[in-house]
Parts: sequence; C-alpha cells; structure tokens
Amino acid sequence: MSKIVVVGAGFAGHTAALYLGSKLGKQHEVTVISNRDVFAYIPSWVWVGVGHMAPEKTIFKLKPVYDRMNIKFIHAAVKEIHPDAGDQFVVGERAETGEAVRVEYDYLVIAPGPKLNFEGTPGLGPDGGGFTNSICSLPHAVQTRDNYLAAIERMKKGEKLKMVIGTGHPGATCQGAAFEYIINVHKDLVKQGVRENAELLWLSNEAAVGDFGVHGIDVKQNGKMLSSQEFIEAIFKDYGIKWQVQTGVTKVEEGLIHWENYAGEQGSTAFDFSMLIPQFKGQPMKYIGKDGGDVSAKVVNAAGFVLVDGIYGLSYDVLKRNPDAWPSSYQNPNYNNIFAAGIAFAPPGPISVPHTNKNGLAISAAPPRTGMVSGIIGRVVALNVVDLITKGRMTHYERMSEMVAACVASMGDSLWDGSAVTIVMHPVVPDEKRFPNESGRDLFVNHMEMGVAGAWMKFMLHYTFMWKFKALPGWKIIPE
Amino acid sequence: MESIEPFFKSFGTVIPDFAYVPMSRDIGIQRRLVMEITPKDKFWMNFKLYQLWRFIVLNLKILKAVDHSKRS
Repeated sequence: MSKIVVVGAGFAGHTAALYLGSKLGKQHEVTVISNRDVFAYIPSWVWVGVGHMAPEKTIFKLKPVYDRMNIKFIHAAVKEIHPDAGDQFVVGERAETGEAVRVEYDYLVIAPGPKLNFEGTPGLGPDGGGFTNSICSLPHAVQTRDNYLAAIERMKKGEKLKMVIGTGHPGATCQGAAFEYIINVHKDLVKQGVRENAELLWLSNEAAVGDFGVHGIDVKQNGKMLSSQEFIEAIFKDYGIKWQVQTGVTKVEEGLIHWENYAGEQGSTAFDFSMLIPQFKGQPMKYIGKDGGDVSAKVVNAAGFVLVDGIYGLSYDVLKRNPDAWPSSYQNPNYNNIFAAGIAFAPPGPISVPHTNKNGLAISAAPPRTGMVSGIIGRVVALNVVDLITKGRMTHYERMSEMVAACVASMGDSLWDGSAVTIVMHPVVPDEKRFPNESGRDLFVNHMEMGVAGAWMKFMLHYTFMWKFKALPGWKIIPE
Repeated sequence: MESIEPFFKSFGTVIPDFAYVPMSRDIGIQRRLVMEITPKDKFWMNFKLYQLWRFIVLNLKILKAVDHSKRS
C-alpha cells in the first residue's frame, strides 16, 4: 500500500486529490493536508469584493467530499517537508490546536498555492497597517467589499474619489483578476449612479494593457489581426478608465502609491480606494534532510517555488525559442516522488517580455498558473502518481507550451446586462516552432469576444465548477 | 543563438532537430485593427438571441479546444 500526501486543497491540489482518491483511494492511503478546511472558488471573489455575491456561496467544506472519495483530510498548515529517502514525511501544525502532526508519504504533491507577499511592498495590503485592499483571500475580499461599499456611500454624498486598481509589486501576476475587479467596480458604480464621482485608474506592471502576463493574445477577426492590447484599451476608453502600465509599485502610504516605471522615473499617485494584487511567492515551508540540514536548494528556487522538470537559467530570448524548456510532468528532478502543481511549481521564466529599468528595478509580469492551467497540472500530477504506483512509469505530460486555456473575465455579473470577455488561447506559452506567426499561437483556435454570453459563461462556470469540485456525478466530464 | 544542447543533454532529452524560425511580421494579414466599441457593437453584445447563439458557439469552441490540445 502506498501513501500519497497532497499539500493544499485549491484548484491544483483538490483536483489532484479527487483523481488520486477516485483511482487509488480504496487500495492506498491518500491524505490531503490543508490550512483551510474549505474549498474556495477563488474566481468569484471578484464579485464578493463588490458585494455582488455572498462569501458563503464561494466555499464548501472539504471533509464530506473527501470522506466520499476515500481521502483522509487533515486540517493543518504544513511547516516542514523531510524528503530524503528512507524517512519521508511532512510536519504540519493543526489549525484548531496548533499541535504538530507528522504524516509519512511515499509520494508527495505540493500544491499549497501562493504565499501572498504583501511584505514585498511596504504598506501594501489590508493587514499589518497596510493601506490597500485585496481579493486574494476570502476575509480580504469581504473586507474589500465593506471598504468599497463605504466608498460608495461617500460618493453618494457627493464626494469625488480616486480608485486605483491593478498590481502592487513590480513582479506581480494575476492581472486578469485585477482587470475583472476594475471592470466590475465600474459597472457597479454605474448601477449605483455614482460613476461620475469616481476616477478609475488601472495601474499595472504589464508591458502593455491586455498583456495579462502572457504577452497578450492575438486573434484573427474578419481577416484582420486584433490584439488584446487594442481590445482592452477600447474597453477602458469606452468605460472612462485611465491606465498606467509599465509601472512597478514600490511602496504605499496612506492615500499615496509610490512607483517606478520602465523609464526609471519615480512618481506617486494619490488614491482614496485601492485594490492591488501582491507579488506571489512559494509557501515558506522548510525542507529538511535526514541529517537535519537544509535541503531547500534541491527542492525550491529562491522564491520558494518547487523546481520541477523544466530547464532553468535560460535567458528570456533562449526560453522563448525553446518551449520544450517548460516542464511537462511537474516532477522534482532531485526527489522523483515529489511533484508540484498549480502556482507552487517554479516556471522556467516569464512569458511576457521582462524589463529592468535603468535603476536596476525588474518590472516583469510573472506568468499566471491559475484556473484552468492549475487544474490541468493537478490532473497530470495525480495521474503520474497513479502511473508510478500501478505501472512503474509516468505516461502523462502536458507543458504550458502545449496547453489550451480558456479564460472568462467578468465585466459585470448581471445575466441581463452584464458582460465578460471570453478568451481561448492555445498554447498558453507561445511556441514559435509549431505556430510560426508573430504570436507563436494557433490563430485558428485563439479567440476573444465580449458580450452577455460571456456573463452567462462565467455564471455557468461558477456552478459547474462547484459541482465538479464537490465530486458530484459526472465531475470528471467537466474539463479542468 | 545560444546553444541549448548542454541543457537538453544533461536531462537526457533527445535534442530536437530544428532551425530557428524568425518571427514573421508579414503573414498576409493586415496588422493593427484599431478598435473602438461602437453602438452597433454594444447592440450585438446584448442582443439576447444572438448572444444565446454565441453562448453555444463559445462552449463548443472551448470543448473543441480542450479536445484539440494534447490530452494528457
């Protein structure tokens, strides 16, 4: 009997756990250790943040699902991983009691999601004396909602407020979530009748509007090429949203965001309400060898993301021409029974063009690995573990340079007059060898459109994915 | 072009036989459609019958793309 431990129960970890439980749960021991005892459908926190969805609609308890799937669940935060052969275990701290729990493993899937590195930008975030809001955790999204509604009340009384939404660190990712938030704020302000009292500014580290950390998307439309930059700029212009890109936030004070841009200029932007996505880092777990020494260099990179079967250390230009440098099995090269899924794995580099300004500040949108990509990697990793146990060799591989991704960015949740941008992109990481065009992607598959159908898609995704993640009948049919 | 052979060799991967394909900016398609959201666009974006059709098409596109990409 093998022991498989999954750290984390987000999109990647929970997907991995469900596949492992369904294929191995009866004969082997599958354990999930997560510091949250609920599954959280994070994409809908955008709506929580504007008060359009109740927080409890975005979560459900994990244990009942895992009980049905022959998965053991431990509500604990993993603090240590001991990966050396002969004595492999993780140490966690139970959420309710703080008591230490030790769990041995034969196979380990590391999928704890990101550490939200608010500390990377002084003054960022809602905690610890910070001055900005966040929708990256449920308590934060609820707090953002309350602050946003308070801002609405001020505007209803005639006050004019400046709202700055975007990324809060030169190396941040998840621009898509911030984009959804600024558009939903715009739509809500219009509905509340206070849009004229709000100045909205999109502030981001992207090279251009619509970059989203994936070097933008190009689509063919009526015989002409359309880029996501043109598309999103048109939306911003139509909605009266100003934008400032190529900008890295370096510090936040009360009412003031300090930044540096590509040209090395330093400036400040005043704000009354702000939601800025922080930098993501790997979770700060310790990796301890048999002799008690630190073996983190064999498992994680400097940012705490798990090294996998990618080729690291390539320059951007070389990486761009070698899409096979992206990992495919997500297996750690030093410990072949350790896998990483979702945001936890270390990408070999950015997808968007990185930039270091004349002051030496690197302003570079990090590659997104959330949503559909997370789920696909979770499935690949789970099936590889199943393979190793049942066949002795892996048979599942999928690089981000092979993966298709669909993204539906909400632009107002109303099923009557809401909207969303629906994007299909293949592959996620451009491959100029397979697709020798300017974008390195399949122009017959790439798609981008906006309309109320997108709002229906987004609504449907919420409920179908909640169904899938509860492992209800037919859950495997729903694609990740 | 930097040689990436040592990296592939060290991981035991077969070195692919490829030539660097320069990015082509001329693919016979006019570049840079300047986009503006017109009132006509807004009409179609909210015309329910048409959008119901788009909802079906989008679902089929996504399902086809998922099937089209490498099923791991």
